[in-house]
Amino acid sequence: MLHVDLVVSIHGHGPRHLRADIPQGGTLALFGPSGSGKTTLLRALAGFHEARGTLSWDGRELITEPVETRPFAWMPQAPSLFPHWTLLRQLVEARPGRTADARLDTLISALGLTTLTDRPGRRLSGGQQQRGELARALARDPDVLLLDEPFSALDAPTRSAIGAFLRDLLRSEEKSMVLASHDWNDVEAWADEVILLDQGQTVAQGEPGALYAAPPNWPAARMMGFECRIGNRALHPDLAEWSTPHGCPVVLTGRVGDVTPHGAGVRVTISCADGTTVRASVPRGVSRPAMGDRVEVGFHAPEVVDDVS
Amino acid sequence: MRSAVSVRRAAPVVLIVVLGLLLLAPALVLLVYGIRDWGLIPPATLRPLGTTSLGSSAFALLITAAGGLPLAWYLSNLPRRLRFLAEGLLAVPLLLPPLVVGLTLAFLLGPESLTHLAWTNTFWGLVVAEVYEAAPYFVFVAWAGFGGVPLLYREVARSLGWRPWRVFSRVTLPLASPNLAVGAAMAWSRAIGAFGAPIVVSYHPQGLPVGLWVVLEEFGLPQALPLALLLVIVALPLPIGALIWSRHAAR
Repeated sequence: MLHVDLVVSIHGHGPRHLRADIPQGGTLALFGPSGSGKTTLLRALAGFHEARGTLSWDGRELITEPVETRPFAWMPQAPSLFPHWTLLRQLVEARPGRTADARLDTLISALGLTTLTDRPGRRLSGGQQQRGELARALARDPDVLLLDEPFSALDAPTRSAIGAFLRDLLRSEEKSMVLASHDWNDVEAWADEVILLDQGQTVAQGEPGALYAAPPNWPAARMMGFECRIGNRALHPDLAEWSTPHGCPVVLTGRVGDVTPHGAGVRVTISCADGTTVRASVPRGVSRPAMGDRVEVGFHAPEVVDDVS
Repeated sequence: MRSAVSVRRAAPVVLIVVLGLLLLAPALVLLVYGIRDWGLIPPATLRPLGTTSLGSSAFALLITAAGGLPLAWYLSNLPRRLRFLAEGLLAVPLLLPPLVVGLTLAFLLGPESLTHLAWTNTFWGLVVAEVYEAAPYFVFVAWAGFGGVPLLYREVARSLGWRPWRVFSRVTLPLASPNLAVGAAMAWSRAIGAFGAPIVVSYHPQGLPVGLWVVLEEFGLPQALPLALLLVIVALPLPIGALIWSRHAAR
């Protein structure tokens, strides 16, 4: 288990407390907009940024250890393959034994790098570099992966293929992971626990599904995509209910404005008589309202206690 | 309209021709008269001049690289406030006229100085004079090279579990090496062409630049030109090789 109880000073935001326990095989997500301190916290875990407190892996205290002996693999957000070495060479040199072994072959083929191994880092595109970096991080065979926006440069099919491979690997080898992401979908897909960060501050912390179902405060709700408040209820476009609105805690009537594609369905803007404007997703299979239509829609809106701070 | 276009097209050609003539004129003079009058070089001066020049410059380059490389690496990791100070210190031998550097060196290395070295008019005195003229160029260029290696690569290397020496030898050094080659090329050219400091510190043994001046004084231009050609022939291969290599490595 990775035990984290750290005070990290985040540039411009002062000292911040980071506390989490990540079991073996578990994933912690750091979620927030850019500038919220995800990268700094990840760097503090890796050992690049000064931190005070406790950081231990299975009882082994890591805070006094230098970067190079911590049982982590760190993948920064910016492209970081060594420009002067071929991809194969940097993968081999990242292996603890520094030999091209069967595991390396598995990584190379699983991450779609077979045809790229002879190329120097400087000749690889952003997406290719990202896959190469992931391979290099995994080649190190760490106990904990520290990944900073690891899928940001990947196209959707590659993303899902690599996601499936990584998930298998994490499960079969019981690796732990700390993932920094600004995408709530990633958080829901990967994390057992998430820390919502805003300007270096922990806004909420918990299991992603539970936080989404019952946001502990309004800033947290906003970060997860809740767009407005009616009374003490938070409204998320994806939690609109069209077929049986009257069972919902919030029911609105209004006129449809904008209609834009969203996933398999559409998203509509609804202007109510009292001047409030809300957005609601219309999933596939529900009859689509047209612009100007008068509609009635319910929201499965969780109750949100006012700001904690 | 048409003439405007043709002027625009002709301008770069004219510029290149004029600049080319200006820049190549010395080289042409050197080639034509140097080769024609090659036989006029006093034969006794040729070998000692060549070997002294090559030998002293090689040692000067070696010393410059051996001391300058770690120094440049250290400087590239200095906090910003101290950098300014280091830049100023390094600039001193660059800003002082070489003759002044030579005079102070002659004083320091001379038999009457505190050091009691008595290195004036010795091979090692010549080497020291050449190091003073060459080293700052190497250190500045190498410093920029080390400073230009993105911190991110070094951090990633550490995160792979590599010890500091491995990070340096596998990442920092190779990525800085194009600059190191350019710095070495400049240092070599400065060392082998050094005149101001060596003429004061070491009139004997003589390298090519001082020897050239002596021949010019004693015999005249026709005898000096072929010797100048020899100096260029001796001085050029290493920097040209280094520059080609650095272009290749940076690609």
